[in-house]
Amino acid sequence: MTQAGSAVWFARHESRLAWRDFVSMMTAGRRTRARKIAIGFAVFVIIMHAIAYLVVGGYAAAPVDQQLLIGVTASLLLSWLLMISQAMESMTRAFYTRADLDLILASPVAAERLFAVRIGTVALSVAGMALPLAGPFINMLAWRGGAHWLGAYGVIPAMGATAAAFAVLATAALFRLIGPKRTRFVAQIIAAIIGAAFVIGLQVAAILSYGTLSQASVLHSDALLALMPGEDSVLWWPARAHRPAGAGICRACRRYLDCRAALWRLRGGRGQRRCRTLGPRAASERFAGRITAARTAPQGMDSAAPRSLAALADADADALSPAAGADAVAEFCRAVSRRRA
Amino acid sequence: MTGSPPLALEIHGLVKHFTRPAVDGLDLAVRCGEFYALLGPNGAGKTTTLRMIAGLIQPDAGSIRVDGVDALDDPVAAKRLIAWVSDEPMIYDKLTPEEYLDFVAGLWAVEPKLAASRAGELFDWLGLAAHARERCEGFSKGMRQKVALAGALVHDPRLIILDEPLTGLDAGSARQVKSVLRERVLAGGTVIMTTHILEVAERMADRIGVIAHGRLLAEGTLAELRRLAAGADVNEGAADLASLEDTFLALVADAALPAEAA
Repeated sequence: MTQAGSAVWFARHESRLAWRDFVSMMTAGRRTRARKIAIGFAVFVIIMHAIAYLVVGGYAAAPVDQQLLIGVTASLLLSWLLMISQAMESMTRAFYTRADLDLILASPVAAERLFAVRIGTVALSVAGMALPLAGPFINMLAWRGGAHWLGAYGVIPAMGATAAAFAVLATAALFRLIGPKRTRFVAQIIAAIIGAAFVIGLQVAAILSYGTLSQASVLHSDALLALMPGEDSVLWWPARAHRPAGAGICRACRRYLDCRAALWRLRGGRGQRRCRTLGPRAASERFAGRITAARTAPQGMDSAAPRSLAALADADADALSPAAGADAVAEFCRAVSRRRA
Repeated sequence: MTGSPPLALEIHGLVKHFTRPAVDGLDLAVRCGEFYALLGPNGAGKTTTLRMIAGLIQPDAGSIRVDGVDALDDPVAAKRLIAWVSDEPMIYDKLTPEEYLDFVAGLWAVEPKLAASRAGELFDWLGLAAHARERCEGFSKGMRQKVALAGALVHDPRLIILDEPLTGLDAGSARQVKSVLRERVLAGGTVIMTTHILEVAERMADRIGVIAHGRLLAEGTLAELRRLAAGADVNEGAADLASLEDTFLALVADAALPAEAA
């Protein structure tokens, strides 16, 4: 039994209201209409898949180059801006139009739980509304180009969450700057501007630079290509969400191990004192144990043990991290490649 | 030695400014088991005062104590004792009265079985038993008001705050609401109500407070207010015949004169 007043309890309450509102909106209280709605939705899904096949089917197996990354990223950016627009509109509705706030805020329950649930609901609804539009395209890409394209589904909830987070920040900032009364109106205007800005911006750039209404001319232009970072840039990570995980994970592991090395250096002073207490043999056993766990040969560690303990941590932290990190990551990548083969 | 009766509500120096002072140094004391009516012209600060007591607005200055609990220091403890019903109460259209009361009981952490038992009694009392499992979206204003009142009472509050609870109700619904409130007071609860229907205040209130320009102008029983409005040199019999409307208008007019002169 869910505890009353908890976040889960609020989530159930909100879900019940949202579901009943949705069913009521769709069916207008008539059961026969539900069947028609279901059939209509199925037809919509089929048509969307057909459109998706015609639009992106040919690109499924295309090589990943900068042009493709720019195109995908631009599409994601447009979608994200539209999601922000929708999230801001939903946020103002959730916090202004929902007249039950008087009831809930006058109760002893912690209001943060309710607001957390409502913000989460906005994120879910924003992502949920993007799925029927994006899903067919992802499905067609997966069908034509491989199951790895299904990784793109993970991008949608991430975009929904970030859009909701941005909407909350923007709404809170407006609240502080201009007060609650004007926030609702201004937030809705900003939401509309954000939603249209990217498209209008591309259109303006196309007209001014190339004398055409085609937004693609801007996205495929050499000028834009020259401005964009290389294919390894973090800017393209959302567009690369569909790529095999191994390469990205290897890079992430290497970054993690580099961070650990930096921390190791910072803690070098403490490490020195521990070494003095435990003795050189214990230190080399500890380091050797870690390196062994990373499947790296502990060559050279025994010869390091008798050295001055004062310099042990610094020197060996530099030596160990790349050795442990590089070898461990290499072993991991080999394992991934063997599985893929 | 007899002590003063316990106070359900104490307000000292309450202040709230929006673009102008809405509440300007209000002092108010309501005894336990009392039916207190707060009257005032539009813009007097009645609703703002009630919303500050309910914890919906933070005052700029002053103190509020509910049954001895400092509502500003410990708002959660104070809210446990209070029920708030606004002039346009919100009930969920897509919930049934049963579900609504279950939700409100959950907000106040009332044990489910106890909440269900109280809900049944309240539905019977307010004539909602036949509609307890119908969605509220088809309800009239009177029925919605009764559902909101049932929700306010399901957690057995010590202090019930009502903002214009009878506005828009037909005679039958208004009678039921008045009956429930009267019973509540007889059972030891305290009710603070704002109303524009002076007859209700006249018939139901133990004490009446008249507020204008964010301050309490006068307070007391109906008889005390009549004498106050009439002045000391007026015949007592004549003062007692004055209606609450005349009394109220006289008091508010007196308060308006210095403001106009300024």
